[in-house]
Amino acid sequence: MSCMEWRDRLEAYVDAELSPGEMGDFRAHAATCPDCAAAALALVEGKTALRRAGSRYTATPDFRARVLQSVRTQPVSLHEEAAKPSMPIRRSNVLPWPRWALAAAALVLLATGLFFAVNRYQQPKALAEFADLHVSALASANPVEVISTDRHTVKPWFQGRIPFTFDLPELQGSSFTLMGGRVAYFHQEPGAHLVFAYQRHFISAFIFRDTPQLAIAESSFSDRGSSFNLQTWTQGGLRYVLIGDVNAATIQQLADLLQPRQ
Amino acid sequence: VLQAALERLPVFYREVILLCDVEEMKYQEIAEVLAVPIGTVMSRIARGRKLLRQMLAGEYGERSVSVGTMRKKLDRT
Repeated sequence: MSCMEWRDRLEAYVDAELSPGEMGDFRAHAATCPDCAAAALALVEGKTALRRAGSRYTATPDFRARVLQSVRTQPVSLHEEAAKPSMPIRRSNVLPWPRWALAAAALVLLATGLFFAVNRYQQPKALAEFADLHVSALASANPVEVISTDRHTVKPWFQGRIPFTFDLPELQGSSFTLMGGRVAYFHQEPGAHLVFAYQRHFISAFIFRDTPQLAIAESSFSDRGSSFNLQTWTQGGLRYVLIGDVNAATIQQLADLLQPRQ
Repeated sequence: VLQAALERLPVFYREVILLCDVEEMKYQEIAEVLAVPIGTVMSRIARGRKLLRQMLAGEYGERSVSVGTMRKKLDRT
């Protein structure tokens, strides 16, 4: 495994979440690679410092025991369910439909159910990922790497940093101000993260190459838990995602301005 | 300084970091407690720690442009 691949797994290494074999492999690698060893050491030191700093948040032994108990009393894994002795199945002697029709109906139901289940799971998951990217960028010391309201400064900055180019229309005269941009990563894919201001709000515009991982329906939706509104569409093989704490109509206005003219 | 940075961290990063580093829970346990996929736990831990490092780098005077700075810039435009 290369250094780059190990770097992606360093967090799991310091949290002892790798398999015993992989833990040994990394230790062998670190013995011959001072850079990876130093990176792991920095993470371990950070973890130790966090443990000290976070001690004021330590749960009481009673609370901790209750949480762990609740985790351990949820034996609803599929394997365990499958391992349970099954109840005797009663077969009805009277089948009003031929077996092939029942099988076909079951298949259709299964396919429909899977389609909706996957969509219902993917949408909030992707929304949560983009909300994470938006919040973490704004909370960081450097929300944008290129700071400019000029699209002719921001767009060229991405040259050589992301593997595609995109259209960035002039927003002068609108209620939105371009604040800058940075490179963002979604499922290991680099993309553009533009930050726009609307009054005192910040809206993130993410532009990535459209991949199966970005399985979001063409729509706008809001996350009731976090109050973010999101608008997404694809154009020219690129996936655009707008997210912010402004209302859905404002997000839509910015989406209309950003959609490249065909 | 680290404690102050920890308090400024968005709550969904702080909770996974505390459960992992202070409570020493496994990723799977955290995922079950918070009812989120294990991949989300992993990405939040990585991003939360990265964000903390960036916050600390900002505290120690590295070039930083905070949201406050962006707002001031916005007020001038």
